[in-house]
Parts: sequence; C-alpha cells; structure tokens
Amino acid sequence: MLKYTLKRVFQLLPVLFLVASIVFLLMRLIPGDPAMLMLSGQGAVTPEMIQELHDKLGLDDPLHIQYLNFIGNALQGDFGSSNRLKAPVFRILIRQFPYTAELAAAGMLLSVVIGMPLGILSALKRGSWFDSVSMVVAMFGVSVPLFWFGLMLLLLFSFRLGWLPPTSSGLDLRSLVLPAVTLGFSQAGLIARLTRSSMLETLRQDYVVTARSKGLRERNVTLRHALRNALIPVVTVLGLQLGTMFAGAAVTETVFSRPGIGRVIVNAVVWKDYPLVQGAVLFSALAFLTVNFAVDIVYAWLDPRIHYT
Amino acid sequence: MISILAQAFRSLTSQKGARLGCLFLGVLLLGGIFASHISPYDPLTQSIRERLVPPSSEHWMGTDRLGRDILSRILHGCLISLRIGAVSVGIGLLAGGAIGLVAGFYGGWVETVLMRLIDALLAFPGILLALVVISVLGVGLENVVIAVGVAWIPRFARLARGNVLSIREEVYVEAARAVGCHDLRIIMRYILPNLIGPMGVYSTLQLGNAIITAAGLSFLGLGAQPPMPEWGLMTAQGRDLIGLAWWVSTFPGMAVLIAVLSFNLIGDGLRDAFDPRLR
Repeated sequence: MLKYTLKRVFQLLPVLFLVASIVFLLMRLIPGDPAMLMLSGQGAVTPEMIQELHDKLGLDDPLHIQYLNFIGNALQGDFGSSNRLKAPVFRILIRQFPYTAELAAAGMLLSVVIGMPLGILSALKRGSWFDSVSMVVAMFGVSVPLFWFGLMLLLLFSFRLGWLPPTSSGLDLRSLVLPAVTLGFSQAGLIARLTRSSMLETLRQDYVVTARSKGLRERNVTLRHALRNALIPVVTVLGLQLGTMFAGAAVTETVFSRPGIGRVIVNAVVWKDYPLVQGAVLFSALAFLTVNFAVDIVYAWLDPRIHYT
Repeated sequence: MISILAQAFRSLTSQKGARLGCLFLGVLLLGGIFASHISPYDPLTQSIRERLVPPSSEHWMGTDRLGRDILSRILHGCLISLRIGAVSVGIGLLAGGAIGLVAGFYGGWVETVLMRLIDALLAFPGILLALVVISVLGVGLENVVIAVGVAWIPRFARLARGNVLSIREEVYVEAARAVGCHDLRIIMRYILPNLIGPMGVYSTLQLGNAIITAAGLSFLGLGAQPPMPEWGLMTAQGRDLIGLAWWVSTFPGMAVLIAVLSFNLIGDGLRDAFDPRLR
C-alpha cells in the first residue's frame, strides 16, 4: 500500500507539470498587451505604468525564460502577486481556502448523508412509490440551477421565515447552513441516482445470489456483499465532485456573498488580474488532483480485488 | 442509422419521464419561435411607472427593476438558452469526437499524445476550464458558449475514444480492411454510424449541463450582458431584490430549471433505450 501511494505521488508530478504548462500557455494566448489590459479601467494609464508592469511581470523576457521563471517560482509556492489586490497570490488563496474548504466539505457531507441512503433504499425497493418519489427528487436535484435554488432558499428561510441569516460572512455554522444545502442538494441528487443504478447492478451479481442461497440474512447480503461493491463507482464520482465543488463554489459564494476561492477566481477574471487567475486556477487544479489521488487510495480499501503493484 | 432513430423514438414515446421531457421542450421551442407573436409586451421596452409590479392579470410574471415585462423577456430568452446549449455541446461533440476518433482509430503515438493532453485538461473541473477560457477571450455571451464548449471537449474525447477502441476490433471493420477499404471510408461507413448512438445519448444528457453552466456564468456577470433577456442574467438582476420583489429572479430561474429538466428527462429515456441495464 505504501509502495502504491509513493508510486501515485510520482505519477501525479508530471500531470501537475503539464497542468501548470497549460495554464501558462493559455494565459499567454490572451490577445493584446496583458499589461495594458490589466491597467484598463483603473484611471489614466501612462506609458511608464505599462513599462513598470512589463518589468514586474517579466513580459519583455523571451517566452522560454518566462516559462522557466513561472515554473521555478511556482515550485517555491510563489504564484506572483495580484495586480488589483496588491498582495501575493498565494497569500490571498491561502486566506480564502478555509471558507471554500468548509463549504465544499459541508456540501459533500450533506450530499452523502442524503444521497446514499436514498439511492440504496430506492434500489432495494425498486418500483415502489418510495423509489418513484426519491428519483423525482433526485432528478430535480440534478436539474436545478444552483444560483436559483440558493436564492429560493434565501427567500424562504431568511426573508420569509427569518430562521437563518441571508449573508454568510465567515466560519460560523448558522450562516453555513443555506450555502451547504444549496451546494449539497444537487450533488445529493447525482449521488442518489448513481448509488441506485450501481446497487441494482451489484444486486444482480453472482456473488450476491450465492450469498443469498447460502441462507444469509438479507441485511447481511445487502450491507456486506452488495453495498461495499456498489460504492466503488460512487466514490469515484465523489472525488470528482469534490473537486468540481471547489471550483463551482463560485456561484454559491456569490449568491450568499460568502468569501472563498470561487469568488476570487470570478473577480480575477472580471478584473483581468492575470497573475491571480493563473495562480487560483493552478491552486484549484492542485486541490482537485489531490482529492482524486486520495480517492484512489480509498479504492484499495473498498475493493480488495484491486491489487496495486 | 434509421433503426437507431426508430429505437430512440420508440423509447421516448414509451416512457413517462421522456414524454414529459419532450412536452417541456416542445413548449419552450414553440414559446421561443413564436415569442414575438405571443409576448404581451416588448422584452426591452422600459417603463418607469411600472417598475417592480408584482404578478397580476396585466403582467403575469410581474415586471423587473426597469419596468420590463418578465414573461415577455422569458419567452424571448427561450431560443437564446436552447441555442447556447446546442452550440456549446456541438463544439464539445465535434472537437472532442474528432480527437477521440483519431486517437482511438490510429492508436500508437498519436493516441498517446492526444490522450495525455486530454488527461491534463480533465485535471481542471469543467467550470474552471471555462473560466480560464473566458479570461483569455474576455467577458461576453459568445465567449461563454465557446468556453463551455471547450470545457466539454475532454469528456467527449474520452467517450469517443473508448467506443472507437471497441468498434475497431469488430469483424466488419476487419472485413472492410481485408477488401481494401481505405481509412477514411472505414471511419465514415463503419465507425461513425456506430458512434452516433452513445455520443447522441451523452450529448442530450450534457445539453442540460451546458445550459446550467452557461446560465451560471451569465449569473456571475461573465456571459450575457444587459439588456439581453438571457435567463441567468435575468436571475442575477433580481438577486439583490429577492426579499423585496421575489418574482424578478424566481421565474427566469424556473425557466432554466424546466429547460434543463427537459433535456435530462429525454437523455435518461435515450440512455435507457440503449442500455436497459441501468433502468
């Protein structure tokens, strides 16, 4: 297991390198002078200001020097500095990270707690009214736009009933409820649908039939033989979704005026703050890859058939 | 080809969910096509005197901050949203499909290079890739459509490659090769027709996703710009007013929900038709 973990770490490095290169190249595709674009909308721009920014960002260096500088700095945790916020990109991101991590974790927890039981029970009671109702709810979950669902929750629970605060400024639990439900509900729909179909597939397998014919109790068959195997595809998607939540938290953070990485990226795109976009995208991709790496390790524990050598 | 379409049609008309999806989609399409005939008001005309009027017999869905009739704006937005979904999925399907097809068919170093690139792109969650593309191209609806399309390329490429890998090994492909068919003919005649089914189902399922993502980007101010009656933008325009004038955001958001729901229901129906095990 340790050997496998180390091997995966080494496999992760080239992907990270490739991701960093793609981000670097994409940002260099921006038509026009990036310094001019970054300074636009900030009052009168003088040629000196443009030259100053050119020097600061190293825009006059040859492309391969810029690239080597970028990779070298990134390796040292230096993602450059935000033009708009006048602070190092890494510090901005680290400061925002807990808010998005908290939101994503709470959303994920909710989606698992609601989605998995719903999917399992639907599969076990296939064709019943429970199955029908929960699949309608799940379909609603995967189809509802987050930005609208969040606003509807605000309307009901903050403005009409007055139970929860309408904005969410930081790490306090009451203000986390609505954003987490917003983010978690649609994921719950996805997980419920996936768990159900995976469970149905597993219940048809020979080893489940064997377990039943051995005379094991239904509870044992379901929990020990079917569920564990049915969860494998679900865990894959959970990993992918956690990464998506990190990036996709932008909408939820905007609806509830919450701080976070997602909002930083959106603002950076609007402000044309390219060092910040570059750093934030790299940071999010890193978080995404790390989560999926962790998912791979969880696999080995879930499915003893998967042998890692 | 005809049998695939016939199968798809049969499955759509035999399932309750898919029938409902077709009904929703039909209503949206008709509403969009005949918007200028059935809308009670002009979608862009402002009326200071009729600002934030709640839903009434004159304005069924109320009016917005500038006194524009929300129902008329939603009707005019139907085709905008459907087109955004279709074009962005189209970009992903064509570009991703072509990459996957070439990688799967030719294999070797072509496949290695293309698929490693796709793997690296998959390391970005979809919306993140879209945000990077928007920061390169700039804010605006057309750029959002391209961005969402680009974000979808890796997924289509993976699906196409996987399917081509198995189709390539079929006996009829081997037979075609044996009688001397060249690559292009094999691709057009034997590979493509067999790709249509799975790619079509996946495209339908992704249409809803693309509409949600594009509307979300417009909601964030990165896509459609005022005064365009785009549903995501309209929902955003009511965000600050949600405690005061609930109707401004509620109805446009509901329109997005219905559009997405219709594609998801139809997509589910198609998928069940092609893979009954998932039912």
